[in-house]
Amino acid sequence: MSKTVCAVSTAPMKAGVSVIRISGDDAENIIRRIFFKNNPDSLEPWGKIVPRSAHYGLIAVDGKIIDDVLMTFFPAPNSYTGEDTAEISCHGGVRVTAMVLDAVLWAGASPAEAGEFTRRSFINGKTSLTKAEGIAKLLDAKSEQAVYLSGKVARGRLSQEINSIADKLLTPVSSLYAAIDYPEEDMEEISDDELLAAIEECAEKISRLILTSKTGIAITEGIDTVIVGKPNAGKSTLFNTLAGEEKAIVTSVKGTTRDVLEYPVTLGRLLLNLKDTAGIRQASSDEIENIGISLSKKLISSISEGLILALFDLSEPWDESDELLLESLKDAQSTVIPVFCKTDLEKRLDTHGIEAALGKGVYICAAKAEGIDGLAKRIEELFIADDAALSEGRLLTSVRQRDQLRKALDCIEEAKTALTDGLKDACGALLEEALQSLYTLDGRGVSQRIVDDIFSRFCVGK
Amino acid sequence: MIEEFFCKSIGTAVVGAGHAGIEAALASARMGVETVLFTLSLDAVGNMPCNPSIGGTGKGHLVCEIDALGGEMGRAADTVCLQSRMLNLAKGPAVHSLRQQADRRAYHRYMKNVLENTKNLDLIQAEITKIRPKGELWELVTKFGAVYEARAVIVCSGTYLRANIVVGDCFYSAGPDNLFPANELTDSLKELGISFMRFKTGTPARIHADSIDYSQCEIQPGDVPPVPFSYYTDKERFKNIPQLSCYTVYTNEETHRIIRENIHRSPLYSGKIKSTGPRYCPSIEDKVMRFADKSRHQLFLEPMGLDTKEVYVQGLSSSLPEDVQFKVLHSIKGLENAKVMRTAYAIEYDCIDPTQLYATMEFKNHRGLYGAGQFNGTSGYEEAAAQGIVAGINAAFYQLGKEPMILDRASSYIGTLIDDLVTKGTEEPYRMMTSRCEYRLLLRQDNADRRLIGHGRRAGLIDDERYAKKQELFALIDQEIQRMESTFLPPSKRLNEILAENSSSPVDCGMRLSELIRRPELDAAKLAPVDVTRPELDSEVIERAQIEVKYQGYIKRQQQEARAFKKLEEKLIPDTVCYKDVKGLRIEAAQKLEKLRPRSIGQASRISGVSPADITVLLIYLNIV
Repeated sequence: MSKTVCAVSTAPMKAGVSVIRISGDDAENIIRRIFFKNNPDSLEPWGKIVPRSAHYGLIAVDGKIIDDVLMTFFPAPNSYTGEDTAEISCHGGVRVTAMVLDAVLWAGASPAEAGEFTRRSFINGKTSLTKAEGIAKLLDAKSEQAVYLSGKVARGRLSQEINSIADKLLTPVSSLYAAIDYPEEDMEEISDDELLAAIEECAEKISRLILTSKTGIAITEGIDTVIVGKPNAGKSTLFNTLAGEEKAIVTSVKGTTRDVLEYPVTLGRLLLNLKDTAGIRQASSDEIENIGISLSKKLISSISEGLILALFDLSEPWDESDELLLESLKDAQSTVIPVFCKTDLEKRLDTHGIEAALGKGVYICAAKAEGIDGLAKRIEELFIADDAALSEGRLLTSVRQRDQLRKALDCIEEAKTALTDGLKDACGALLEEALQSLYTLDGRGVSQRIVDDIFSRFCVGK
Repeated sequence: MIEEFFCKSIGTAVVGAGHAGIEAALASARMGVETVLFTLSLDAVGNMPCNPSIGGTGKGHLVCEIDALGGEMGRAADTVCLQSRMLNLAKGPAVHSLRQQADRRAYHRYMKNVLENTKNLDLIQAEITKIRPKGELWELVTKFGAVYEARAVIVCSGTYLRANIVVGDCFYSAGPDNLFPANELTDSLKELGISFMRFKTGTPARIHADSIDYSQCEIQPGDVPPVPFSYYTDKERFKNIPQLSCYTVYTNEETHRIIRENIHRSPLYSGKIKSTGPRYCPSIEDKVMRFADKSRHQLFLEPMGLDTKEVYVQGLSSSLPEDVQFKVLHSIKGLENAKVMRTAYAIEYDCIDPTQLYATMEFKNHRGLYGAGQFNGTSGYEEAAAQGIVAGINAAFYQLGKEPMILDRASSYIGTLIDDLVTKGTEEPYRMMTSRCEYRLLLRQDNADRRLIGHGRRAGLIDDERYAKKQELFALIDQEIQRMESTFLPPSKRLNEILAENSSSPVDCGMRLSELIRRPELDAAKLAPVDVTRPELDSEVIERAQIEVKYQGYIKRQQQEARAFKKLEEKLIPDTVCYKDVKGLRIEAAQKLEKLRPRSIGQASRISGVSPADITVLLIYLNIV
């Protein structure tokens, strides 16, 4: 018997309608306890509840009417979770919503945990793991592109792509096994060259898919972004310009892993997770004392596969601090964009050396919010490598997906070594492992840890 | 109606003295349980009604594992070996597979003799027609009415249950080699609620050696020196056994034309045979029809024994009418004048759905009743023997009140075979293949003893002397691995000469011996001249140490996988679970789980139709996440 759970499925804000979802074996009983026919003078229980039809009636507890609502009942298995599910659409006020939810809890439901509905949906075989991740992303999506892309993943494009690679790899693997199992049969054995060609083709496809993760993760999870530069270069101004523009919808999320504040900011089609490190804030109050090589280096090494905006002050001639910054950027594990600030002042900086080292720069005047579009465009160029893949949804959108594919790729690389070493048995075993990694991506042979990880990132309500 | 009479009360009754029954009976008797082995014919004990060979890919592993558990098959094969070949030498040590041609009648005599001389074991010629429960015991009734009371029964009926031989339109009730079939036992077992399937297999013609034009054949000699299967075989003496050769010939377009023109006369194609045959061992008519683009198929000519001129034509199994068979044979270069001594035939028989069994080979619904061999839907002597020894050991353990022996997939080919059978079932006669083993880099022929000797020892099938000797051997191997890892070869002219001779890149600052051995073009023997601390060791020790060293990276990787696998195997599911009550399980999954009642989460996850999501539900339900 599964516990019956409930939660508000719509965002917790003042809106026209709030939806409260109840899922579990007891959903119908719970509804019957609090949902009555639309007759405020004499509460009358419902007789037959018609599946998948909206019922207009009253929510009441102890004879006290709370709200008039629409209630729809989805019997198992034809519901989102695959269980008996009821959805109550009540009036959207925060207080009313809370009271209706209280009524449902009073009637015997338990509050749903984060991601519980989608978890149940996965458990009941209503959705695959990649789809579930897509749905998670959809709910999490902070930019329009992210919504769009997550939708595609949810519709299974990525699964298709990965399965087609796995299926391709299966063919040479089975040929190899056939030759091992039937050494004396007069059959055409797959030659080492053919085998190598086939697995290299798969490796290349996997590599290409891994490359898309840069775009996919940038769109759905956001690009970790730091701003570095010498004192007075305009870091704080740029930070505030980027974050400030979005102030109305920006929420500061306490980071779970690195204990820094992140300001998710949409810029064009992308999402930047601006890292407001203590460094930057400190620097803005007492710059000269705190800025040094160590801080720049720390900031630069604090992110990998993210974005570093390296600020240079156009109004100041080249100096030692610029030199040190350029030096420390050599170790960067992220994409670096040189940003030349203060276009409104007289130009005293020779930009050639910097652009030779770091690539073409972007010119901005953060104070006047000029050049921000150019910056956005440049970031897009660097992070959206494959527009076709993006529009078709053939993108890896999570670190988990990417790591899993990397594991498959590792196995394939090792298999190639084994093949050149003449160890066909080892080669076969490794290719099989690669296959397993590919299939794991879609939940086949998935481990409990992954499932928990995915579902822990769902917000309550979906 | 035959009048029944009580005959004897015994421990284990084994029905059938084929390859499964022999191992089952020997294991049970050797473990001290009074055992009776029933056979339809004393002249057919350990019969090889199909190919005269033991081992081959995957199967060679099984034979080595049976030997490691203390079984008889490897010893018997070595004793009657006509030719020994190690297959897959170029594909890596994990898939090296030993195959021996065996003298068919000598094999029978050897096995019968061993059975006759085993303590606690009676070999009796009788057909068992009924098996029925009697309290916690079982009663077996022979055709003549003798009733045996047994605490455990192992059914190893091979291909004899309601067997029919089919040649063209000729269709008659007979077991393999025209022996009597067993037509009554199926019904008796059905009364117990056991469900049956009907499988088909076939065997090619035997032809007279003197009618073969060997000048038209390619010769296939045995290995020099030949390698034995068994611990008990003297390796040095085995090197000098006389070996016979096999030969290869090929079908041609004419052969294929004859088959195509007569295909309507094949009972397989006319619909006369409806039962399921094996895909991996198709009849010649199947090969020609299904692989129409192949212009020829290879055939092997294998000697049947030293005292006979019969030659087995491997690859030409058929159920075509005899006149077509003759034409087919005579169209083949080298066999133009071949004289057929035994005609090829197909045989249909009853076997059970093996998912009714636990991994101990015991029926889930019948305490003390076991099945092994082709009765369980497998194919092949080795597969049969492997199940036989497991069933025999477990039937004895059951009577001795000891924990059963369960071999998991990471332990052995035997474990993989049994897990496949009891978890996934089979839709065709099941043949062992190396590709069925996910842990095959760990499950090699060379280390079968090390993997399984503990089990054999616990069963009491490995005596003190053998156990001690093996422990000594394992210690020597470990020492040698250690030495290879820790020995540093300094740079020297001689070393670089050796490297140059083997087109291996030179070293200028010295290197660990193990690292050099890992180079594909090198091995321990080639490096011996510069490996000055190398002790005098048996070649087996060096070879086995070298495999571990060469494969180290791959082995470690698989060991990790195996550990992860074992974790799930150790998550046991209580026998009391009622899957219907597990909310969230899909109906199909609940039904499959209810039917198979898996021992562990690991086994549950391998059941087809049970999805990862179902497993998650189960883990949550059992609260063993």
